[in-house]
Formats: sequence, structure tokens, C-alpha cells
Amino acid sequence: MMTLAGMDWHAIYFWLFALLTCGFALAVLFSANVVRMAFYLVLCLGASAGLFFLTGAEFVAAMQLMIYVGGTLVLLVFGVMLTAHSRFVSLRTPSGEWILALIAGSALLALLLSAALKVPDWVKANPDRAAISAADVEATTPIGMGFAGVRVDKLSQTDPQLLGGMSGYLLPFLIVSIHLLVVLIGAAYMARAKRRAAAVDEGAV
Amino acid sequence: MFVDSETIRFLWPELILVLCAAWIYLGGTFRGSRRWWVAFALAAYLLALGVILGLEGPATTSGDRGGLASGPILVDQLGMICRCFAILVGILLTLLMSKSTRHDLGSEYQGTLMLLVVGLMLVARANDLVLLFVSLELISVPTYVLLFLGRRDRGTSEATLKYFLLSILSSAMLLYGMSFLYGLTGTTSLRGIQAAVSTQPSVAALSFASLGISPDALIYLSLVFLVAGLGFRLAAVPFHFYAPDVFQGVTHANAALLSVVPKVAGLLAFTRLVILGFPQAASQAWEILLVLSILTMTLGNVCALWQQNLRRLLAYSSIAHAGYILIGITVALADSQRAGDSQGGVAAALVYVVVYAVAALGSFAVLAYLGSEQNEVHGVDELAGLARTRPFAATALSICMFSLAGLPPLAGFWGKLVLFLGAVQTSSGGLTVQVMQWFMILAIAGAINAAIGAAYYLRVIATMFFRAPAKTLDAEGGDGAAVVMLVCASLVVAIGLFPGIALNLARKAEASLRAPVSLAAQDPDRSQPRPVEHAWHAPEPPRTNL
Repeated sequence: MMTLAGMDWHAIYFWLFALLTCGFALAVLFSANVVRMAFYLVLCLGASAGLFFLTGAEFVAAMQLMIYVGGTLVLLVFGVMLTAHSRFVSLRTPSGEWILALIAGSALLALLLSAALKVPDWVKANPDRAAISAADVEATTPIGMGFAGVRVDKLSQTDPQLLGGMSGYLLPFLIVSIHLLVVLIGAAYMARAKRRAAAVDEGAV
Repeated sequence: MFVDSETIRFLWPELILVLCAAWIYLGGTFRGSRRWWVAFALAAYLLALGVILGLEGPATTSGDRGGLASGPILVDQLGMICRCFAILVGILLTLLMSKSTRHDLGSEYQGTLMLLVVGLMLVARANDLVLLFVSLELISVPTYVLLFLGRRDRGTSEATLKYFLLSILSSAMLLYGMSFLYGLTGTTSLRGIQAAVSTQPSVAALSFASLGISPDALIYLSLVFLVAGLGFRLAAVPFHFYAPDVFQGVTHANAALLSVVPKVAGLLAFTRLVILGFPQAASQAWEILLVLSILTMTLGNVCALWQQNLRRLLAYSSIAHAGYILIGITVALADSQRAGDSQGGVAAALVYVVVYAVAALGSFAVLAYLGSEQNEVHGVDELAGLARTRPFAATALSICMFSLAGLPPLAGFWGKLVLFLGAVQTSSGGLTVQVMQWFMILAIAGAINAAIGAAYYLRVIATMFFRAPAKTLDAEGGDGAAVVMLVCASLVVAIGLFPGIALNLARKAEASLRAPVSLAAQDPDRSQPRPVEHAWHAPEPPRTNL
């Protein structure tokens, strides 16, 4: 049991989630079936939510799970089911497009890598864990609390009149959610009514 | 942050238009007459224009040249001029689309167009990353709907879907770049970012320094993504490839919209975000943009040479003009590296985009006027002998195309002249020998491209004047298109004859861009404007426990 406790679990989880993210991202790339792609994307985004949890950005991680894994991808799978034409379910990429995509993708990768490697703090390990500032970790927490209706970012405010107007973002959040629900129902209705225009209606949402 | 009544007061013109758009959507379900809603929309635009000139004209022109920062918006000359131009574009597009829509969709069309104009007006005065992004989306999302409503056949659906997918990709890149910028500076205010990355060490920058992170690498990353995201809107190489296919698939009126509105919005966003936001990375920024500018001009003009489809030809011409606009941005970026007089890069780009927009709108209006709902004008050959069958339309199209080619004394000539002069001046008063050489190459590339460009515009004009008419075109585009065609042609001539007025306005706008900003009064006891240093929502020092 001592060995288990002595292991660097943070590093192990990091490698686990990072490998899962990269592996399933490649799986999305090399799969030819839309439904499988969507499923691999669920796993890829779920694993990247794990990476956010590891950095301590719980709010971002929760949003990643709720919005992308929970919302967007379910929508994607529904969209594929509603509008499925056999020629869209299976996608083959021509070799010319592979080359173009490789050029664009490797340029992007080179840019991101070179920028990341130029930040000294991200390259060398920091032996003193306690010295790592938690500033950027807390950046998203006030937003999350604000969505729940608590404005922890304005605790210094004492003016009662202004305090009355600081209700957090719960109401706008709900209004937007209901609005999106209406749009979804409308899109599903339009996709059902006119099968030919379905793909474009989906796009207009 | 609270929205105070002062901010709302500055937003009245936009609010009026949003309310009118909502009213058009609602009312359109009860009263379907297209003519009535066009009249209503025109009245709304004129009302908004009156409010801008009446309410804010005195506020922005009086006193010093600096603007007012109020909440997420910035009230200054640049915003003021560009909003008036946005309303002009709105009026022209309303007239242009007055007949090209299906009768029962007239109100939806006008309402959506009005929201798009509001988006353009908000881009012109955004002082906040979030507002800037939302207003750019307020342009994109109505554009998808308008493209789709224009004509509901297979080609249009494909073009719309293509535009939609690439547009959200570019929005994602823009957001990615903005998120780096926010992470580096800790504020979403544009003026705050400018201060944070240049001179004044903000709290966030200090905390970065204590962490041992050099912000330069990430600023560069952010810059690349912002250029990519905004380059799509300008249709600059290598983000141009959607333009020919999309232009070919949509109606003439929608092609006019696509060639004008995203370009103006992209230039404004470039001006506020890239030129002001990156004083540190300006040397890398102008290198990227200089290369993109030369590539964009050359590719657009060379590919346009062998186009037979008119909308495809104008799409490549739109790409080429994006390259010219980038010259202005490049000059402005190189300028921001050193102290001293400005070479007027931003002013030149502003003049050029206005001149291009008017001429492009005029060209598409002529094409829309010549066709009918069943028979659109597609090929260059269909215009053969137009000077004999439809002399007025042929004259208007020639004026617009001569201006696009940059022949004196039309507006396009002055636009190109100020752009190239800026590049030449930068090269003569340059920083190092290498910089001088690069800007000389830029100016020469611009001049060569102007010559290549003249070839294909003159080919269209020659077809109209020197070839025998093959068939008589319907010319059932409606009175609205005819009015737009006349207005644009006369504007091109007017700006060509009196270029000083446009240049002065643009210079004023550029001066206001760099002028210090004062904070708008928030409550009566703080009515005196004061420096904006305290207005940015500078991040509070990180709390250790919540």
C-alpha cells in the first residue's frame, strides 16, 4: 500500500487523460463513419474535461462535460439520425484533401508547440508545488458562482441599491436555455417537415 | 459591471433598429406586403441616422478629439462615421433586395438585414472583446439566413452551407485568439488590453512576470489566430477559398452583401483589435500581413482574369481588393512601431473600403437590375452590346468598374493613390534598410496588380460597348435596384471629384483612434470626464480564499 501512496498520481492521471484525448482525436480523424466519429469525439472531449479537472479549473471542466459532451454531441447524434442519408453516414476523404489537411494541421501544431515551448514555466518542472500560484485556477470560479446567482466577484460592494441589481446571471442563463430549447424544437420540426431542406435548416441553427 | 443609463443613451440608434426589426418580424406575419415593409425599414434607417447625427454628433465632435468610453462601447469619430456608413449600406441593400425576394418572405428579409446592420454599427464602436465578438456574430448569423432566403435551390443551399461551416470555423479561431489575449491581460476591454501589453504593467501582467512566463510567445500565438479569424471576413488568402463558390451560388443582392459587410466589419475589427492591441508584436504582425497582402492581391487578380461568370469574377475581384485593404493595415502596423507622424494607413484603408463598397454595390445592383427572378445575368457574354440596348445600366456599370480598376478621376483612383502613397512613404522614411525594401516591394506589387486588375474590368466594359447585342436582357430587377445603381454611380463620381471630403473624414477617424479616451460620466457627481485609466475593469488581485 505504501507504494500506491507514494506514486505520483497527478502525473499518472495526466498521462492517462492526455493519451485518451489524443488517441480518440486520432480515431475521429481516421474513422469514416459519422456515428462512430461522434462517439469518439464524446470520449475525446470527456478526457479533455479530465485534464481541466486536473488543473483545478472545475468550472471549465464541468462546462466541458455539460455543454460539449452532454449537449452538443447529443445534438450531433440526433442531427445525424434525423437527416441521415446513406452518403453522409460514411465519409471518405480524397487523398488530395489529406495532403492539404496535413499541411494546415502541421502548421497549426508547429505554431502551438513553438508558442508553448517558449513559455519557460511550462517547459521545466517546478519542484516546489506550494509556490504555484492558484490565480488562474480561480479565474473561472466566480463566473460559475455568478451563474448560480452568487456574485463572489463583487463582495466589496456595500451600496444596497447596487446590491439589489446584482442578481447574478441565473435569469439570463435560464432565458437563453429556454430560447435554445425552442430553437431546437423548431429545427427538429423543420427537419421533419421538409426532408430535402433538412441539412440546411440544421445549419441555420 | 453595471450598464448605466449613459451607455444606454449612446445605444439609442441601435436599440431603435433592433426594436424595428422585431416589429417587422412580428408584423410580417399579419401584413405580407413587401412594399410596405421596405418603406417601413427605410423610415427606420432614416430615424436611426437622424438620432445619430442629432444626439451624438455634438457629443463626439465637440471638445478634444478623443472619444468617450462608456461601458463596453467607445464613442468616437471612427465609430460615428462608420455607423453612418453602415446605415447607408443598410438603405442601399434594402432597396437592392426590395424586389429580389419572394413576396411572402419580404418582412423576414428586411428584419434580418436590419439586425445585420445593427451588428455592423456595434462593431464600429466595440471597446470590449465580448461585445466585438457578439457583434461580429450579429453580422454572421443573419448573413446565413439571408443567403438561404435569397433563393431556395440546390446551388444556394450548398453555397449557404459552405459559408456557414467556414464562418463558424473562423469565429472559433477568432475566439481562440481572443482567449489568449484575455488570459494574458486579465481584461476584456480593448483599451485595457492595449495598455496592459504595452506600457502599464497591469496586475495580471505582473502576476505573469512573477510566474516566469514571458507574454511575448502567447501574444504572437494570439496574433496569428486573430489574423486568421479576421482574414476570413476580409476574404484574404489563404482564407479566401469560399468566396468564388459562395458568390456564384447566391443571388446578386446577397453577393453584394457578402462583398461589402464582412469586409467593413473585418477592417474595423482589425483596426481596433490588431493595430491597437499589439504594439509589442507589431513587427511580426506587419510581416505576416505584408506577405498576405501581396499574395491576396496577386491571387485575386490573376484568377479573375479567366472568369466567365460575372459573380465569380467579382468574387475574385473582392479578394484582390481585400489585398489592397491589407496594404493600409500593414502600413498602420509598421507606423505604430515608431513615434512621429502617422502615414495614414488606417485612413487610407477606410477610404478604400468605402470606395470599394460603393462601387461593388453599384456593380451588383446593375446586374440585379438587368436580370429577373427567372433569368439572372450570369455570364460576361450576356452583357454584349448592353450600351445599345440599356445605355443607362451600361454607363452605371462602366463607372463602377472603372472605379474598381482605379482609373482617374473616379473614386477608386484616389483610394489606390492614398494606399500606395502610404506604402511608399513608409519605405522612404522606414526603420531599417530591410523594412524599406519590403515596403517598396509592397508598393510595386500593388501597382502591378492595379494593372492586372484593369485588364478584366476593361474586358467587361469592352464587351458592353464594342460587341453586337446577342439578346435583350429583361431588366426586371425593380425600381429599387435602379435607384441603388444610380446612387452608387453618382457617389463614385462625387467622391472622385471631391476626394478631400472623404480623406478628411477618414483622417479625423484615424486621429480619434489614437487619441486618449475619457470616461463617460456615470453619475451626476462624476460628470467631469476623466482619464480612462480607472475605467478598465482591471482584475482584482487574486483572492486566496473564497
